[in-house]
Parts: sequence; C-alpha cells; structure tokens
Amino acid sequence: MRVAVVGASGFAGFAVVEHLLEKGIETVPLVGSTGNSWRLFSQGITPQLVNVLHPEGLSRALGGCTHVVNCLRGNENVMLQGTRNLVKEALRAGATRFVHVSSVAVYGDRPAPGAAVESAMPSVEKGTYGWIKLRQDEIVQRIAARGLKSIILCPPNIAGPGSYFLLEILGCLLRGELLLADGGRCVCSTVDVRNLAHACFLALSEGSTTGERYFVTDDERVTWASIVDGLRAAGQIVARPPECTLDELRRTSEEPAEPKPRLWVSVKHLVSSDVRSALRKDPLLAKIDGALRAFLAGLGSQVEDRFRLAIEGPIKVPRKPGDAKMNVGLSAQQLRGVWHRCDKAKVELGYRPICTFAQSMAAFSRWLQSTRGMLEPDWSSRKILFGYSEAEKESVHQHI
Amino acid sequence: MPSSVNDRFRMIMIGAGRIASQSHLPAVLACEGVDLVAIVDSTPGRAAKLAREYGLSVQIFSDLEPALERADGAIVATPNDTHHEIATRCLMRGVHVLVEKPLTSTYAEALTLSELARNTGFRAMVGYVTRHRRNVRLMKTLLDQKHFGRVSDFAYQFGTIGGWAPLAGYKSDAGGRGAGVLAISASHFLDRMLWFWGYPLDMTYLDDGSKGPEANCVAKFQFEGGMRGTLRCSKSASLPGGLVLDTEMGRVVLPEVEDADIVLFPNENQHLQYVLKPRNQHASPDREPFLAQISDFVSACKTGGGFGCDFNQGAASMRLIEDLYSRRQPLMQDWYSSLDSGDSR
Repeated sequence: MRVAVVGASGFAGFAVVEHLLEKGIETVPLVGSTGNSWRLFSQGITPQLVNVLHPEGLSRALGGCTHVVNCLRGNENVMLQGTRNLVKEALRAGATRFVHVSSVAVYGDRPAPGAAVESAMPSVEKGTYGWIKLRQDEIVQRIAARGLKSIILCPPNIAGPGSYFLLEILGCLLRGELLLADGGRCVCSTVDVRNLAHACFLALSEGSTTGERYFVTDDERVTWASIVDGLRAAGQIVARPPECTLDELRRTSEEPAEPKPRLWVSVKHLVSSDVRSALRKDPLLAKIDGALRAFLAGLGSQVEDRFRLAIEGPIKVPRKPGDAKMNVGLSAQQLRGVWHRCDKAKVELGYRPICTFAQSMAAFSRWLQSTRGMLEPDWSSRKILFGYSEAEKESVHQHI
Repeated sequence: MPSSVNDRFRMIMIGAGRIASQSHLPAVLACEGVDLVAIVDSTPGRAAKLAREYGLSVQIFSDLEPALERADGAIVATPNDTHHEIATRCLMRGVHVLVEKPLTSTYAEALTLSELARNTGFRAMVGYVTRHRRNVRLMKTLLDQKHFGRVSDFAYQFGTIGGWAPLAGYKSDAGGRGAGVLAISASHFLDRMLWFWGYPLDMTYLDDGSKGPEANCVAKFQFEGGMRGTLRCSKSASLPGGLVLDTEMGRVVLPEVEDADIVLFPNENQHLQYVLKPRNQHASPDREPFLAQISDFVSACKTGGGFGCDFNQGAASMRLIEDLYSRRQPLMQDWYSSLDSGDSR
C-alpha cells in the first residue's frame, strides 16, 4: 500500500500522515505550500509540493500510489477544481481507493434532526463552507460511479492539540466574545484529530466504496459547557462567558433580511458624498461635480440644505456599542442541536475512537500550555501579550 | 565610489528571490540619492523578470564580476551558504556590502568576513532589519540611558503558523540546524538582544527539530548582573509577538509590531500605563524599516556611523546561534502521553 495524503500540512492531513507512518504504511505527503509544512519538516518528513490545479504535476505526484486520502483545504476553486483534478488523476494513476475527508457541514448550519445519521438529505446554503464540501462530495460520488472506489468521511468539529476550533473558542473566551446558551447544555459534536486519522486509516481497506458518507466522531455526547470548562481550565481563564437563552441566541444570530433593490435608493447612493468623493479623484468628474455643486449653491442655501437632506438623510448617531463584540457566528453553532452518531462507521469500518473526549481535551491543554509556556515562570510577564488582563476585566462585567 | 555626500550612490542587487523582490528592491527604489544600476542572479531569467516587474531598465547579470565594476554598494540577498563568498568578493573589489541575515552559514566564516571588513575598511552590514524600527531604536536608547532602572527579567515570544518555508534560502546541516525557526524568526530578536545587553553568560535551549528544521524553540539566558531572559518562537502556533521587561520602574511591553508604542505599567500605580514616544519624532521621520535600513547603510558608507548590525555583531549572532544549537535538548511534544498504546478504548 502506498498512500498519497493530499493537504498533508493541514491540521487533519498532518495527523493522517503521522498515523499512517506509525502504522508502517508508505506515505506520500502532498502539500500546496512548504511554508505551511513546518511540522512535517521538523519530524524529518519531506513533503512533495504539488499544485492541485495543474493536472500534470498531480499525475506525477500520484504515480505509484494505490490509495489517496484527500484532506485538501483552500479557496473554493482549489477545493472544487482541485478535487476534480485529483479524482481524475487518481483514477488515471490506477489508485484502488479514494478516501475523502468531508464534513458534517454538508447538512447545513442548522441541520434537521434527522441529520444525526448519514441517511439524511444534505441541505446547505449556497456559498457556505458546507456548500463547497457538498459539491466536493458530489465530485467524489460521480467518480465512484465511474469506477474509483471511494469513501467519504464526515467529521464534525475537529479537536485535539492545535485545533483551530478550540483555539477560536479560547480566543473568544479570553475576549468575552462567546455567548453561552442554555447554561451550556447544547450538544457539540466533536472528533479528536487522532480519531479522524484512525478512521482514515480504516477507510483505506474497510467500508462501502460507492461514495457513501460515514460520520466520524468521538462517540460521546459532549456539551458546550464541557468544552468551555475544559478551555477555561487549559487557558487559565477566570471569567465565565456571558450567558443567554436559546431564544436570545436565535434572535441575536438572525441575519437582517437583504434590502430589495429600489431605484430611488440607488440614485441616492450614486450621488452620496462617499461616491462623489471617490469620483472626484478623476479630474473631469471632479469638474462636473464642482459645477453641479456651484449650480446647487446658486439656488440658495434652503434649497441646497433640502437637497442634501434628501440625499444623505438625517444625521444618524449609532447606539453606543456594548463592552465587547460577540462572535455571533461561533456562538450560533450551539443552535445546531444535532448530535451526529458514528454507528455506521463503527459497524462498517470497525471504527472505535482511540481517544476519549477527556483525553483529547487533556492533550489540547498540554499542547496549549507547553506551546505558550504557561507553566514557565515568565508566563506572568508574557500573558499580557495574549490580552489576558484586559479580557478578564471585560468578561467579568459582561451579561446580557 | 561617491566622493561626497551629495553624489549618487550606485547600488547593485545580488539575488532576485523573494526577500529582494518584496523588501530590498522597493526600499532601494524609494531611497533618496540611490540608483539601482544592476541586478545579479545566477538563475537564468530571474533577475530580468524582477526588473520587468518593477519596470526597471537596469543591467542584468548572471555573473557577479561585471556588476561589481559599476557599484558603490551591494545588497546580498542570496542563500546563506553563498554569503561568505559573495561578500568577500564585494569587499575585495572595494564595494560596501549589506548582507541579508544570517551573515554566513557558520561562525567560523562570519569571523573571517568580519576580519576582512575590518582590514579593507569598507562598510559591511547585516540585514537585521528590525533594528531599524522606530520603536526598537527608542528601546535601545531607553535601555542605554537606564531609563527603567535595573532590568531583572525579559521575556520574548513570536509565533506564526507557517510563513517563510523551512530551508528556503537557508542551508542547514543534515539535521536541519540552521534552517529552522531559530535561524529564520528568532535570529532577529537574538540580534536585538545582543545589541541591548551583550553576550549572555549562560543559556539553555530546547527545540522540536528531532529530524529536521525545528518549528518550535525555547531559549533561556543568564546575563552579567543577574538578568535572566527567555525566548520562545514557533512556526506551528500563533504567539502574539512582543518583548516584556520586568524592571525597577515596572513592566515594559513592546509588541512585535512595526508601529507599536512602548508601554510602561508602573509599579507604583496599578491603574495607569505610560506610552513612551520620542519627543523629537518630527526630526527623525518614521520610515519603513527596509527603507530605513538602506538609508542607514548608504549614510554609513558615505559618512560613517550608522546603527545597523556590522559584521562583528553579525558574527556574534552566528556564534550565539551555534552556541544554542550545541546545547539542544528535545522539546516535549507527546501531548497524548496518557493514552494507551492500543487502538481501542
């Protein structure tokens, strides 16, 4: 078995490479940038640089690989066109199996209760991360129909040492930006990065290969309170996050409806001072603007004032902002309300998490405290650089 | 060679890679009294491409010798294992030289270059560009004046996820020494540390480069007079960069940001913080550090002085980096150490 891991420098990709090497499997780490490959290099693993948008290079990189694990990240074009190129070249290279790391995000930001299991119908808003992941899944499913044995793994929030998800929550806790809903009782599906890597390893030889989805989780009912408590302990954060009810969080996270296009509003925008100041950078348009203003001034100050009021509207005084700006997007994840189950992966892949949620959080804590030197004597000096003192002052007084 | 301070200074750029393209070249073009006359790069087409990108009609060479004939000064922005040879040729031909950091790939090479610069009398500087930040210069002045009284401890940290690629432009030994985060990121602070306080009496060093260039490193220093300091750098974790000093007056913080202010949190008042700025800010305008570095270099070539890092100081940096690597201990990485070795719970 010779396994190409695409996106090997990323959080999940690196863990997959490490796990496969531990299992004694010949692994070909493929990366889009060596600048992000420090962890690989420091372990003496030299990755191959490959641009997934260039099929020729991809074809060379996949040569001789029997399996491909796709942990590709990047912009929409990289993720979609890159995956198209990848499956095509994998098929051409004679790969016998394609493991695609997708996401439970394909079931949307507010999944239906049925999304606890894989058989639910994916549903996402266009342009979201979940939408891109769903398009990727479809590419993989099409290639599966054309003969490349493929399997799709759907992790929820990925935890473990260096987890971006946990670091984002930690940062919000420090700055007092996370709203904890319903006393933290909301469920949060997680998977430790090593559990995900282990599932990738199993998927190289087990499971249905017709492009079916498998949820891969820690298989524990984790709540937001347990995550927040774990992170507060790991990050030595004294202040509790501000709390709210589920209804309050729902109202806070509702996006205002998009304004309908109206001709008069568009004209007002066109002649607003902001637009005119940009146009005046052009000398000809500046002259025209000057002439129009002179003409208007000639009509008398009352007419000029009325005209200005009609265009600009009355002076608006914004409400005084609160003490801290909430991270609504992250807080709203508590509204997902679905605990994704990994029973299918357990039965068909033989998956059992190799790491519990408690072990995962302990590993994150150890990583955080070691990387930041939080147990060293100089931590009391350096913690100011992370914004500790200010954040704690703010958070203590935050309640809604 | 310009005969007076008013003469134009003819500069050549040796190396047309990323640091030349993104930082040195724009600085040279923006610098008053300096003309870029040639770009040299041994890779065919790279120098011409750089010239095209900036719309320059300068001479392009793949060989150094003809370019040196036209130069008063040279910027060397090539991989570090070529610095010794190129800087030697520049100095031997009477061309002042600004070498991108690190000065060389070994301390021994750095010493011979430093001696050559001293013997020839030409200006020789190392591109430790962060010295040229306004706030760093102010910190140097304040420390020299003992403004904060005795400094008991300092702590420095800087960490970004990714960035400059490991090995890019850096030659390492088989284990990756010389091309990891210590050489690429931490070396800027090490230069400033030597500039502020001189060479440490003792040190310990840990990194995670078990089989390749390190992504994380931690160093602890002991100085004459009892001052202690720590340095922590990462290429795999984000650490908000900055220097914190514990002093007689209070805690002093300088974030690792170009335009950050130095802030003093005085011991005698827990509710106040003092922002320190130079009074005569108008007299010394704030310049982009690479431009400030070139201006300082050219001015030093014409009239002497300058506060850039000279070859002697550049050699001290090399000595310190080698000293640290020679004391390497492994940095803990086994985050899951409490897990069972089996595959199931």
